[in-house]
Amino acid sequence: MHNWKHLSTSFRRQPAGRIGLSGITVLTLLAVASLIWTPHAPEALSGPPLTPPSLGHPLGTNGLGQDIFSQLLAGCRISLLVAVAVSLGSAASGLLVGAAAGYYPRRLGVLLMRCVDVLMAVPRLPLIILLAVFLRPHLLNIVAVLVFLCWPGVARTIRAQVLALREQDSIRFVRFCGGGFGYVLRQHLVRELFPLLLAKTAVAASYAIVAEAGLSFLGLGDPTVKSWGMMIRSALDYPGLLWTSAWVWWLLPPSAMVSLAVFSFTLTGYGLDEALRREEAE
Amino acid sequence: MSRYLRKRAATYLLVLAVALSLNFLLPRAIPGNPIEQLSSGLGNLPIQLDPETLGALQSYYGLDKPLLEQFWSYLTGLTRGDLGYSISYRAPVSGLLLDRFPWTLLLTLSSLFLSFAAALLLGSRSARKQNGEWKVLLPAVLFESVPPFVLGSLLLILLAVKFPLFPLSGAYSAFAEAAGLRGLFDVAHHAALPVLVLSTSSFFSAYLVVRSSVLLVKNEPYVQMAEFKGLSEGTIRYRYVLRTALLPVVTFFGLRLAYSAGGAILVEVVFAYPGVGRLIYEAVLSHDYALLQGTFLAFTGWVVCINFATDCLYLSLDPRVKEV
Amino acid sequence: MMLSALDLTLKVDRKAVFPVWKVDLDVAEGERVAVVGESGGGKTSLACGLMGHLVPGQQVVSGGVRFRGADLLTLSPAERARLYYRDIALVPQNAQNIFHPTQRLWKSAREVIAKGKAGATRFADVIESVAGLGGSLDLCISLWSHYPHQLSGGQKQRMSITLALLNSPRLLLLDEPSNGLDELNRRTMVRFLSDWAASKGASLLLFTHDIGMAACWANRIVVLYRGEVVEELPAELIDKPRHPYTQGLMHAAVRLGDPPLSRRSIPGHAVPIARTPQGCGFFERCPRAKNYCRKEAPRFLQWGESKVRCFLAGDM
Repeated sequence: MHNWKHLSTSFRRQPAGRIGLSGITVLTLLAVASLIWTPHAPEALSGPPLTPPSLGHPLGTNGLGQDIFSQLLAGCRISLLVAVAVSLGSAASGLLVGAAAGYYPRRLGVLLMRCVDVLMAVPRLPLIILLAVFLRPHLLNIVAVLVFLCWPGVARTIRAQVLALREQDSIRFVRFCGGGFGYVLRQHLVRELFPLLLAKTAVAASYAIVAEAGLSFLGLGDPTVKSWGMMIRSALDYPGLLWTSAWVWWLLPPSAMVSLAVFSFTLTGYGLDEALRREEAE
Repeated sequence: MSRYLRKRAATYLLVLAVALSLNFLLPRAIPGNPIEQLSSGLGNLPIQLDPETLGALQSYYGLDKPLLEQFWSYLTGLTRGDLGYSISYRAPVSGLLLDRFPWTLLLTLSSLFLSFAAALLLGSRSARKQNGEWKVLLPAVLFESVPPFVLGSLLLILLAVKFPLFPLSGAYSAFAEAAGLRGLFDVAHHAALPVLVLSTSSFFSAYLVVRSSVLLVKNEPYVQMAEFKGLSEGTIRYRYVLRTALLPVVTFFGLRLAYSAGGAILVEVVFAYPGVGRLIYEAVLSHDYALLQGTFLAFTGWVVCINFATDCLYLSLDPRVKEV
Repeated sequence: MMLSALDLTLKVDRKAVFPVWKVDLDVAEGERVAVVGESGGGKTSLACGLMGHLVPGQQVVSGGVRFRGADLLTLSPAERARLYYRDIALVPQNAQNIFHPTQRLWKSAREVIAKGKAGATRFADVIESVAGLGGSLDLCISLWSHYPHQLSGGQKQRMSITLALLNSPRLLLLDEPSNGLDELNRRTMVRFLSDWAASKGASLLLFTHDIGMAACWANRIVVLYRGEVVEELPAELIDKPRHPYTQGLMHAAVRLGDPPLSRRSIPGHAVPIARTPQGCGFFERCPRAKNYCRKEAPRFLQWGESKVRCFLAGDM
C-alpha cells in the first residue's frame, strides 16, 4: 500500500519532479489565461506581416499579419488539450485492458497481451501517417489515433503490476470473500496503481504533444486549429523565411514552447518513476 | 527453433498480417474507390474521367471484383515482389524503395551507433560514481524534448544558412563527379546534421538504460564474489559487469533500430534527405496511395525483421532465456 | 600465527551501528577455529572484515588484521586481490548467485586456476584440476560444462568450495557452509574439509550458528554476540560453557537422544551494537543479569582454559 504523503514528498524533493511540475503549472496557467484574454484574437490580421516584436505585438506578427504571441497562448490550449485527452484516454483504456489481463492471466490475459504485442510492434509514425491520411484531419481523429497508439504501452505496465498485486494477501482476501473483478478494480487496484498510471500517462502526454506537432508539421494536422505544430509548419512554409531574421520570433517561440511542454511532462514522468522506485527500495 | 522463438515469430507474422490488412482495407474504407478518388479533383490525374473509362479502369485494376478476391490478388502480387505502381513517380514502388532504403539505413545506423557509444561511455562511467548524474542528464532530457524536426530546422538555420558549414539538403552533391574518398566525405558531410539530430533524440533513453543496468549488475552477488576471488579489476569490469549489463542494452538497441526508421521520417523531411521517410511524406502529399502503402509495408517489414533478429541474438547471448 | 586480528571494529557508513566491536581473534597454523553466533550477530561482517574486503557500506574504525605477517587492511586492493583464492579464500554463505550467469562453470574455475599459475589453460586442463576435489565432494565432471542456473543450490555450494580449494590456500574461511546442504552432505563435507586441511596443513575458520557442528569439528570455539567476542574455549569444554549466552546456545541446540520438547531458546534476538555500550551487551537477554551488569562492561578474562567476558563466569 502506498504512503501517499511519503510518495508526494519524495516526488517533490527530486529536482526532476519539481521542475516538471512547475513547467506543467506554467503551461496550465497560460492556457487558462488565454481562455480569458489574449492581446489580439489569434485569427485576426492585426498588423502588417512579419513585423518584429513591439509593444503592441510582443512577439511580432507572422506572414499573414496575425499576432504571434496570441497564437502562442492559443496553441497552449490546444497542446494541453491534446495532452490531457490522450493521457486520459490511454490511461483509462490501458488500465482496463491491463487490469483485466493481469487479473485473468490465463486465457483472457494471453489473448489481450498478444493484441498488445502486435499493436506495439507496428511502427508508430508510419501508422499515424497512414491513419491520418485516410481519416478526416479533425482534432478528435488525431486524439483518437494517438490514444490508440499509447494505450498498449500503459496496458503492458499495468498488467505486470496487477499480476503481482493479485497475489498480495489483502487482494486475495477480497477475492476470497467474493469480490469480483469490477469491485476489486474500483476499490483496491485503482488506488494501488494510481502513481504508476500517473507516471506512464505523463510519458504518453509528452509523446502526444510531439506527435501532434509532428503531424501538423507534415501537414496532416487539423487545419482549423492553430496549434504550435501548425505555427512551425507555416513558418517553415513561408518562402525564404530562413534568410530573413523573422524566424527568430516566428519559428523559435512555438519550438521553444513545444520543447518546454515535452520537457516538463517527461521530467514529471521521470520524477514519478524515481519516487516509486525509491519507495519500493525501502 | 526454441519455443520462445516460435512464439515471437508467430507474433510478428500476426503483425505483418495486421499491417497487410490495414494496407488493403484503409483505402477501401473510404466511400468510393481509389480511381474515383484520384479523378475527383484531389488527385493528380489532370482530367476528369467519364463513367465508361472509369468502369474500364476499375475492371483493369480488379476493383469491381469481390473484396476477398482483391485481397488474394494483392497477396499474390506481394509474393512476387509487386508492391504496386507509383503514380507520382511513374515507377514501380519496389524499385523506389530499394533505391531509397540505403540512405535511411545510413542515417539510422550511424545515429544509433553514435548515441549508443556515447551512452555506453557516459552511462557506465556515471554508474561507477553513483551520483552526479544530473550534469549529463539534464541537457540530455532537454535535447530529447525538442522534437527532432524542430531541432533539425534550427540546426539547418544555424549551421547551413547563417554559417554555411553544412549543405542544405540531399544526400550527396548532385552533379558532382566525386568518387572514392571524396565521395565518401561528401556523403558524410550531407549526413552529418541529420545524424546529429537523430542521435540526440535517442541518447537520453539509451543513457538511462545503460546506467540503470550497470548499477543493478554491480550489486549482484556474483560481482561481489568476483572481487572476493581476487580477479583483476579489468576482468570484473568487462567480463562480469559490462557483459551482463549489456544484455538489456542489446534488446534496447534492437528495439531502437527497429523503430528508428519510422522516427527518421521527420528528419528526412526537414533535410530533404532522399530516404524512405521522405518517400512516405511525398506519397502523402501527392495522394499516391500505392506508394504510401508500399512504404508502410516496408517500415513494418523492417520492424518485424529487426525485432526477430534481436530476439535471436538475445537468445544466443543469454543462456538463461532458453529455459523460458 | 596465520591470522591475527587485533581490536577490530567496523562501523556502518553514516550510522552509529557497529557490526564488529573490538574483536581479537587468532588462528594458528593448522588450527580449526569456529566462530559461533546467531543470525545478525555480525559473523558475515567479521568474515569480510578479516579478509580485508568489507561488506559494502561498512568501514574500519580501528584495529588491524595480520595475515602471515602482512597487514591486510593497509595493503592496496591489488595486492590484497593477489592473495585472494590463492593464500586465503572465503566461501560465501549463499551460493545461489555467485557465479557468472552467462559463463560455463569450468570457465569460472579457469579464472581461479589462472591465479595460481599463469598461462592460458584449456578445458582439459581445467577438468583435470577440478576432478579430484570435485569428485570428493560428489560433483560429477559433466556439471562443469553447465551454466550456473542449471545446478541445484547444494551443487553450487559444493562447487564454490571446490573453487576455493583449487589453489590450496593456507587459510580457508567458511561462512555458514552447511547452508543448503542436508545432513548427509553436511557430514561428508565436514569430513572432507577436515581431511583436506590436515593433509595440507591449512587453517580453517568456520562461521556458523550451529554450535553442534562447531563442537564436533573445530579445535577452538569463539562465541560472538552482537559483534563482540563473549567467550573463547577449546572445543572439548563446550558442554561446560561459562558465559550465559553460550549456555543458552547449548541449551537451544538439538541433539539426538534429548527428551522431546526439552529445548529452550533465548528470548529476543541480536541486534548490532548501536552505540558504545555502557554495560554488558547481553544484559537485556541474560537470565542471570544483575544490576551492576548494566552499568559496567565486563572484561575479557581467562577462566581456566577458556576466556569469558562476564562478571558471573566464576559461579556456574
